[in-house]
Amino acid sequence: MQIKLALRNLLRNPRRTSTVLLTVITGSAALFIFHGFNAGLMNQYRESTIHSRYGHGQINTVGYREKVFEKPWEHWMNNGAQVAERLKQLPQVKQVFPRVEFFSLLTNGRVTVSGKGQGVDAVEEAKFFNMLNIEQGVALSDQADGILLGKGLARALDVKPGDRVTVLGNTIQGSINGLDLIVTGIFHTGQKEFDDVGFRIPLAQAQKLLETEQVESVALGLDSVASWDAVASVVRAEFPMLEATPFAVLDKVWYQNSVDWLDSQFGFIQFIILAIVILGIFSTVSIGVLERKQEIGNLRANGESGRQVLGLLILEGLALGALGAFLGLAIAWIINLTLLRNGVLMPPAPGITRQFYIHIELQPKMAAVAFLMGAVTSVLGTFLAGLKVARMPIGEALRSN
Amino acid sequence: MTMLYEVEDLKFHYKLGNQQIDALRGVSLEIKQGEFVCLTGPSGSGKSTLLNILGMIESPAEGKVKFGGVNLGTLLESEKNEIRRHKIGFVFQSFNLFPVLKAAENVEYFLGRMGVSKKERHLRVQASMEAVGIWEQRNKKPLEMSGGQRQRVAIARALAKNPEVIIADEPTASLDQANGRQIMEIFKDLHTQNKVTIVVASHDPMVLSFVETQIKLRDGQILDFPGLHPSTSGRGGPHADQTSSS
Repeated sequence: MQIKLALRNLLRNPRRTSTVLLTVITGSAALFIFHGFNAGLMNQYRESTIHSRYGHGQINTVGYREKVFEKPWEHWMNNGAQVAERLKQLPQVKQVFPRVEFFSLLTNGRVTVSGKGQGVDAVEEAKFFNMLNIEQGVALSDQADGILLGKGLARALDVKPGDRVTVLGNTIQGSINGLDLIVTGIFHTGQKEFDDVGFRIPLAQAQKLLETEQVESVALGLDSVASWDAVASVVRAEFPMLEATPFAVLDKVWYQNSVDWLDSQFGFIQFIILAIVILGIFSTVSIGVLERKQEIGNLRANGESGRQVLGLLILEGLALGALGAFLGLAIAWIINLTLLRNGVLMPPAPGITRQFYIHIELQPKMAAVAFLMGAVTSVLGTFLAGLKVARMPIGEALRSN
Repeated sequence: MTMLYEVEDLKFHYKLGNQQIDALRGVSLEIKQGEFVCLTGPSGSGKSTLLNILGMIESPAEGKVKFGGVNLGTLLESEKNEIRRHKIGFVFQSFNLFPVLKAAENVEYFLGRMGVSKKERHLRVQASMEAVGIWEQRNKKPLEMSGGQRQRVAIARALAKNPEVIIADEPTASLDQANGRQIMEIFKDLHTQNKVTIVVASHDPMVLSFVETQIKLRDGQILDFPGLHPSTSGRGGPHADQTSSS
């Protein structure tokens, strides 16, 4: 009977009920879409980080990343090929990318500058690292004598795709060695300090320059981010001298800090949305509750405690909140399938020169959270509005008009 | 007859701005079970305040009120709630029906909250609505009914609880003379046939002709009421008197 009374009370003032309902619908839909936008942005950012530089993670010898060595190659992997072959057998591993990094000089015959090179399996990497920002030319792939230059480095050397560049470096024995390469393209990462010195050449060329068959690291391309832990545990178990580091740790300063920063910002915006919804419901429900003071006095006179009266009001708020939250989710879903089906066009993000679309990724967990928040804010708004009247002395409530 | 209410030196005051108003100034009275009492007096005499205290809606500032031999001052709020829920039926001037529920649902609502079974609820709803002649209107909502009909629903609601006492505050004040008289006839019938204790507060002279005991108040005190013989239970200070007529 109490539920019947609560539900019927929702119909006694359709305009006021509609206002509260609309507030909850708007709040829930906004939260749902906002969560979806957030997830879309984070996922896009994550995929960009994975597919532009780090893969899903990287394998080095234990402790290698934390230290600076005079002769780093002494800490490189001697069994890089064996590790790569073993990891390829794991169902989660789709691609492996052995790499070396080295310092060298680059010259075009007129100017000589220092640079930091990466030797990579260019054919494999070209298939996976599809989000590197290529400003001119093409990415490095099957060009055996190709070199991909960072934007600043190319500007310093004053070269363009098709020009020749000589790379001079030390072999691991300490003698001077050199490579004549052709610029295939110019890239940028958005990090000036890297773009001013970074370049990529085929792994075989790098190993030829350094006169070694070792690899410094093996980056991995997996079937999904979620597979990382399983792969890392295999590495730990089978190669105790190696350690596996996920991309979020490798790119902590850029990726993980951005994610944490955005999460905090989203949390604050979410708080504002919820506060607006609560205030909207509070102000509307307050008027309704105040108009029902006599009725509430009658309930109290007939034995209902203040808590039970509040329970009735909260039941009304809950019903309205649940209905509003459900409709809000449905509307958000429809908006996502229609108005936002192509995503939201965003301006270039840090490190990216082009505009890009964020696709709203609505997920069941987000629906549950948005539903819960819609319903809870409605209950909270009703609770705050009803508290004073439920506590009012019965006589005073009955005397009010 | 057993005593239902025993009131001793009851005082009540409230604040109006910075001023303290003494609404009741040492009222003593007794009401027996099965009695039909009217608290009467001009506006501001304290009759509604006294009624509210008898109904446990307000708590006295000083003095003692016993209900069925139990001192209300010793009860917790939750215990008073239980007494109000099970033993007291209320009828208000402004009816205080739930506008969203049908007449029968209004009568049934508090029975459900009392824990009465569904079958028993239906029996009680029908019996009480028939007793006040409103059963035919059971499916109407309050706003579809006249003032007199609404007040009958309110009485049926109070009656359905099988209360020990019905407390009615100005039950005829919102009604015209004819409807007011009909309501009082219903109260009188209930009192005669069901032996329900009824305490009414009213300043309507018509109401006085239906009750067996009148307690006249003025300025927060019970007054002498010439022409009516003193009640066996009347006492309470130099100005207090309780009179009854039959």
